[in-house]
Amino acid sequence: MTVFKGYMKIIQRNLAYMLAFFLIFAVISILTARFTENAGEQFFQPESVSITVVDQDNSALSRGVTTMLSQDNQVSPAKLNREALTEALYIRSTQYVLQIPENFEKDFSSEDVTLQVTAVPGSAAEYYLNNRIDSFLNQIRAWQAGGFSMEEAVEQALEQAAHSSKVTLLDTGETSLAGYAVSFQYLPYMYLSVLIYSVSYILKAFRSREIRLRMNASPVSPTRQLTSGTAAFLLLFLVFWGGSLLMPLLIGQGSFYTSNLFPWYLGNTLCLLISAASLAFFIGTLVQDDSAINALANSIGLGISFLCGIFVPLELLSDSVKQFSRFLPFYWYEVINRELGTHTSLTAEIRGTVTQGFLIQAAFALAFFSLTLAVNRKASRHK
Amino acid sequence: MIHIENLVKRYGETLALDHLNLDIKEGEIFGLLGPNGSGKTTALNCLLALLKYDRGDIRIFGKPMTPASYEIKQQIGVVFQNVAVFNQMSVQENVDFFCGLYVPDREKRRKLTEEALLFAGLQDYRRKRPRQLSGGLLRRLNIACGMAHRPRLLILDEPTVAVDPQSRNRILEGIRELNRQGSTVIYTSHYMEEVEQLCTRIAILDRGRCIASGTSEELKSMIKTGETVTIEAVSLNEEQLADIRRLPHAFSVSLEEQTLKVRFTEASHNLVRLLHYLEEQNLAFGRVFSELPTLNDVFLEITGKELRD
Repeated sequence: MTVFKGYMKIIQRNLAYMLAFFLIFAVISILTARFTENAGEQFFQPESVSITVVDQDNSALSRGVTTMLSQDNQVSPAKLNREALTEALYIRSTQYVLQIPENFEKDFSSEDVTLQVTAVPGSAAEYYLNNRIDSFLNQIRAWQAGGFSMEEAVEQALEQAAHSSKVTLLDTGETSLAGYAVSFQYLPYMYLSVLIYSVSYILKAFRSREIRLRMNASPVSPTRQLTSGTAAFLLLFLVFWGGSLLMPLLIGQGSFYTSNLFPWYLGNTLCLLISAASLAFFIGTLVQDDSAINALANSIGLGISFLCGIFVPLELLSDSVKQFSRFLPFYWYEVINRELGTHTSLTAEIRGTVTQGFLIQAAFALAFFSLTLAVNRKASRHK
Repeated sequence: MIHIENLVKRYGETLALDHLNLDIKEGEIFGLLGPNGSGKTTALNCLLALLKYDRGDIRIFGKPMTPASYEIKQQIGVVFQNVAVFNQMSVQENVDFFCGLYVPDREKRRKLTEEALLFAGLQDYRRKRPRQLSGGLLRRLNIACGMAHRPRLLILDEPTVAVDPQSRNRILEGIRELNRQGSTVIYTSHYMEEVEQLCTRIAILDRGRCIASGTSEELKSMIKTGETVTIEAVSLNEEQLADIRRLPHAFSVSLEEQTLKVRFTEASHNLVRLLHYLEEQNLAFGRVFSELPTLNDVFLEITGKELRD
């Protein structure tokens, strides 16, 4: 227990450093997540199209159609001048020309009444506005069938058209990340910087030749020393891991903990923890100098972050960088984080990719641990 | 209490310990004296089972000492030549930590830590970090960490290297006090005055072998030198040197840079006879010293070289 407490005391000395890192990243994550959320909302604004309406009927119905279109678009009234309207379409000063013929309201009940539309062929505006007008006219027919007069039917249909709905996407299929995934995107830098620094700092203290001699001359067996050290490191890692999982809560995304992706995030961050810890042990075994610890923690943390798509999105990395990054576990963490962040449920194929990523990260961690053991063994033989 | 028999340790081709034999009794302050590289630290590391040896037998408290002899290690305290403390912990935390390796009981440990701080004169520095301490205070902390658990056997490997005289005296007095309280002490040093002043029995090591052992008086009585007279700033010719060699009891005469050194076998009136001769010859001279034999003389006579070399 004494050795364990000794480790904890030295860990305590690092607490301020770890907390500072944690707070900085919490703030960055909150800001980034908020920014990403707002940016996403802009894409859900209704399409606004420049429309020219030639109203030759000037009835309640034709005015209703014009008012409905004005709700979301810029509508300009015009007189029928085919040449001028064709030119306006050509130079895109208008995108859609609607001609409401005389007696449109009068002939509305008969099936052969039509509105004349001129638009850029195959454009999204044409398809979108045709649908809106059809839908509006069908509603008026429905109200009329219910016994409402034309004026009342137009009023009801306009009121209905003014309603907006809240849309929740089950799966966007797009590449923008969910808010909590953004906060997890930066975790590798925090894990690497904090773990390399603290593990190296602790190892340096306990690996000092003089301290080891004194400990080995004591009645505490090397096995007990190793067990106590391992327990202390495990506790440190678990607390650190738990703390990092609070990020979604800090950015107000508590629903993350009940989502069906939560176990997958747990797996990915656990793999990240193991990889970062194994790398930290490897570096801690090699580093002897206090100032070198700080410099290495920062340079390795930053270097890997730029190479593995932590600071720069994976899509923007060149192929040659990606070829190299594939040899680092943190690249696979980011790949999985991206998969989890862009889907709300996982297909069998995505599950396969994610599981493969977990295994690759675990294999890297195993390799780093083995390398650390080999270096340790060589160093102890040398001494 | 400690029995070392025919201990052999090699580092490649180098023979660090050459059939070393030692017997240390309970209650002694046993000094291991020898120049740097004589095998003192190697012997201690073998004794503590920190180092594998090639041949020989080590028994402590009547039992063979192995790396897994935790019952024996429980009763040993050790102070290494290099300071072994955590820079990340305070003075008090260090003493408490190392004491805790031997004493699990928290209350007992608290009391022992307090006593060790008092013993080392560190009570006013308890909250300081080791790097905030002077060299002397750091050495005292090193000792406090090694003895806080009140060991039956305390091993100190050159604990006063690079220590100011005030701290050195305090350390030596502390070791005597520990010995009075019942601890057996093994003390290694290449400072012969320190060993002579402190130890009840001494073993002199050279090239991994014990070349002599006994009390300070016993060691000095082994050699021919009874008195050494040194006279500074004197000019002598060969004839005068030959006359001095013929003085009664003189057996070694040397003149280097106008400093005359004459060794006499144990006898009286050596200084008077020598000064009388210089007066007769009408020779001017500077300061005159007369010294009784030292452990350096013992080492010099046995090995033909100075202990300080």
